[in-house]
Amino acid sequence: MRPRYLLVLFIGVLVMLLAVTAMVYLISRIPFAGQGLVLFLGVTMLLVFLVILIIRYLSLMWLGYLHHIETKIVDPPEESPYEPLVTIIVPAFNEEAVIDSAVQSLLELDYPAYEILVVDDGSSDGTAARVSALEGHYGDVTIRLVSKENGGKAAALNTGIALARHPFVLCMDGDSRLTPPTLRYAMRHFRDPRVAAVAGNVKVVNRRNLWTKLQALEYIEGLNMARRAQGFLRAVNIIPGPIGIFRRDVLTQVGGYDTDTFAEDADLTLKLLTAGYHVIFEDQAIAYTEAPEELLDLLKQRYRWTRGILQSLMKRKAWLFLPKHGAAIWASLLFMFFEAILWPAANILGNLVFAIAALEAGVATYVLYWWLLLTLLDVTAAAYTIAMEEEDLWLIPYAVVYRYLFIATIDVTKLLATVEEFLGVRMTWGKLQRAGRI
Amino acid sequence: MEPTSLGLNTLLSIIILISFIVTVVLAAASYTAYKLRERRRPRPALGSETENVYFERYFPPTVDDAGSGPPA
Repeated sequence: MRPRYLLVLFIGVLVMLLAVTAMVYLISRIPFAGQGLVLFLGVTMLLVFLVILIIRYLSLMWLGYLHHIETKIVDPPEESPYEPLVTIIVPAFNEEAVIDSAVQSLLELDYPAYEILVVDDGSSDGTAARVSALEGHYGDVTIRLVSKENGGKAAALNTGIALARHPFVLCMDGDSRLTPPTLRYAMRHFRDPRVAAVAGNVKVVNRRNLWTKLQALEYIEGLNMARRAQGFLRAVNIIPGPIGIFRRDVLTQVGGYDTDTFAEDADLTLKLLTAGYHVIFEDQAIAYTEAPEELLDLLKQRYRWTRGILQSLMKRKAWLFLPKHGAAIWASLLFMFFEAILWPAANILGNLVFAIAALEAGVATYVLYWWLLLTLLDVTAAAYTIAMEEEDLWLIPYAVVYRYLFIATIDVTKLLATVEEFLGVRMTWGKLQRAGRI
Repeated sequence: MEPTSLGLNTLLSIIILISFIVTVVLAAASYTAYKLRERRRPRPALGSETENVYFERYFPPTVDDAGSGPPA
């Protein structure tokens, strides 16, 4: 790790510990006596929120750091390469504008031999014709095209898995871009026969406005921090759609992607975990993806994610109450449930009830102190995770509005989507509008 | 009646609270706007989802089935 990131990491941990101490002190100083039940309830909710927040941050950061250390010392690909044949499956639906560059970028991977299999999912534009023109052999790399009737991404990936010629498959989105060392770093984990899949590291490529910059921060601080921690436990609970590498025989064994949820990647991951396999996170297997640039598109994505994750969890609800294959998988499932429902509710209600109660009880200044300390905590967590990934340090200031603007907005959608899921409101897929920045 | 003065800290606290409430309300309004936008789009017919034709459904072994899981 480069010195400036190491410094940010060290300072981040120190400031975070100070912020947590100050928050506990702040809560202990709030005058309860004679202020009534409302303030008592508000402070109690805040305390619960704080305890969860601290446990969440510290456990994720600690496990994430252990994962970071582990990946540096276990089988570095430079010293002992493990390079079995891989088929890269690229599902494509009306991607005429980008498919050329997408396929050609895959030719630049730093890996000796692999196959690129483009599955044209019934495109009505010139996608198939463009890929067809690229078909052939490029040294030890082969490009193939398969066309099928339109059936959605899961069905396209299943087609690719069935027709792949190699024992390992990399499933990605048609509009994602992989970095050259991706396969070399990811494949080393498959030396262990218990590892069925490796989740890659997804990064936002179009950091153009406030929403996409906040999503870039969220992918690093929110999603990857959790994935890193789960990776240390070998129980990553969502292999992201833009990059997942799998053993093909295991995929065939578990039946590939199901089409009965709206989060086929989360559903498949849970299938692998509950079948007893390990799922690893590799931070050097990087895929760049285009994040929604408009708020309504972002809400659409999160609505689908939330309902899809709940659908996947409900298919295996017995697992939530019983650790059948060990504590790590159970913890991973519980964490998924917690992040989908409990944490959004705690985030909104905890802050809202306390603020209203404090104003009503005449101790409003505590709201300011609380906000300052919570923001400090978020900024240091952002600095820590950004340093860990050696990412753009200019994303750190966005942590100031991360919780009270971005997370609050997303959490409202999560809560409303949860209500709709339990009410059984019908939903449909629909292709997310991309701006074509890749 | 005594005149009341608002301290800076109290003022900032009120601003934080109002901003948070406005964010939550706007988030709910945006969600409503998203739902309205989706409602205006044509819906696919029920049951039109393509079935998975390449795999037979695999049912994972029960806990009692020893030796059928992944390598230890």
